[in-house]
Amino acid sequence: MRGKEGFIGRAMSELERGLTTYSRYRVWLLTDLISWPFWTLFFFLSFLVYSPTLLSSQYHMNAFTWCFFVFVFVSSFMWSSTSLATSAQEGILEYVLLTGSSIRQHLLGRMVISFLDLAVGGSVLLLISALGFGTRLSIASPLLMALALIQAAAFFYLFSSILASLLVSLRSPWVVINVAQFLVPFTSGAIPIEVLPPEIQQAIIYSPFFYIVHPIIASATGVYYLPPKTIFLIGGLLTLSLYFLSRVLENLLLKRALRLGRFTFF
Amino acid sequence: MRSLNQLSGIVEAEFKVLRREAGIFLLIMSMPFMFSLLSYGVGIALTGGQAPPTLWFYQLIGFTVLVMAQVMSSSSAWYFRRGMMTGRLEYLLASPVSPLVAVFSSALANMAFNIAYFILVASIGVALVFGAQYLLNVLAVILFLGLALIPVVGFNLIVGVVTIIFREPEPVSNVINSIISSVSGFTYPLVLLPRFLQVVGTVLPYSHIVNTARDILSGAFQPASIYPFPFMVGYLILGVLVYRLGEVNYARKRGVHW
Repeated sequence: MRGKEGFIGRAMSELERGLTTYSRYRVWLLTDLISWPFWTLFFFLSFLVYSPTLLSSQYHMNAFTWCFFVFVFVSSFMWSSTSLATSAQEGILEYVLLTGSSIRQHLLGRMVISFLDLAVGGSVLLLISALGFGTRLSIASPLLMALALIQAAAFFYLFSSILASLLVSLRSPWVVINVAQFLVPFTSGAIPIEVLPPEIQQAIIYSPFFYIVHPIIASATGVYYLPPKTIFLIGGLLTLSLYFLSRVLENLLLKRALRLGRFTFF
Repeated sequence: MRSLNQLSGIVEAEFKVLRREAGIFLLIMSMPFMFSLLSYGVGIALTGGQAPPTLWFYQLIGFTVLVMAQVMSSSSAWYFRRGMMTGRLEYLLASPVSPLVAVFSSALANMAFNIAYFILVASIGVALVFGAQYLLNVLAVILFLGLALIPVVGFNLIVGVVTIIFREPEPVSNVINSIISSVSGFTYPLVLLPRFLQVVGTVLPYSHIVNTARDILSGAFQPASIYPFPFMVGYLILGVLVYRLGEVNYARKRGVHW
């Protein structure tokens, strides 16, 4: 089926696939609920051991809570990109694409799991920060926070689909994701920019991820490094560029697959 | 004698597998540097450039032992998962090779891999922070880790049995790793934790391993600090007991097919 109805039908099937997969592995939900409080504790203390007095600074605790929230956010989305390699290895991808679906659509099924992971992990993180560390969580600009989260979800969905296309032929794509999930957020604005030295502040704005990650932290703390309009405009343009880039890469991948008989860029 | 032959044969096979995965070794080696430098960078930012390099070293060694702990528990979990998926575990239980010897051999190979990894990372850290004259201390750590990690094998046997019961290794290792990571004083002193978590951290073997390793490397080792290690042998005994109970009462009765 082609056209709008076909698109919606395939998207709904993918969403159903994601929800079914998640509900079959209920043990994941249980273990997430147990492990996230411990990881939260670990992250907080690993950073704040350098300056334990900040544990009593409400401003910094709030800022760092959102910093780790961004990490959970980025990590949840980035792990979905490994699912394409699994689909290719299991021989599913070829059949999915024969139905007229796209790689981006196929990843929707895995994105549902990312959203659920974020909902569980993010909520537990905020809860532990508030109850365990006594952080008074606050969002300086709730509207901008909502906008920043929507923009970040769109951006990292498209970024993950690009990453998935690039990593599709790797046997162990998790190796790349394991490193990238830390590097991307923590070098691009997840750490509140106002606590960084001026030289790093000036360098960090050259990272494209900054315009996606920084608005989340800045909406919570109220400290924007650049005017919000500029940041959201650049962030929006970057997201749009990623959309076109993901389409180009997907077409290239399919052309190569038809020529070589396997999904690979390398 | 037969068990020894089996042990050496399996260790050799495991080393061959490890040798094929050189890329993973490089990645694992880079992880403590990546994490500790990231944290140190934040530390510099938070303290206005006053973060001491010794604290970076503290976290470097902590992250290294943390990765070792995670590799050991995840490897055990995956050893059982792969064994179940491929049917190897079923054959292993039916063969004259003791499954315990097989699992123990696999853990020993992992232990040797981890010690090699620790030596490389620690040597760089020691040379950078304390100077090349302290590099001899790394040799003492090899002996220490060789003995101190044996009780951890018992811990991993428990992970293995739990994997057989739950069948999914990731959730099992994720919970265990999160608890071990946060309460063992890898990257911050235990005193920063709530009291009950300090107790959990002290009972587990890792805080003693990481603290003693740091002391040996920095030349601050006191013989008194090894007093908890004889008690840690309890983990090995407990691990073997739990494993045997799981094998006899669960695995052999219900099967270990996927």
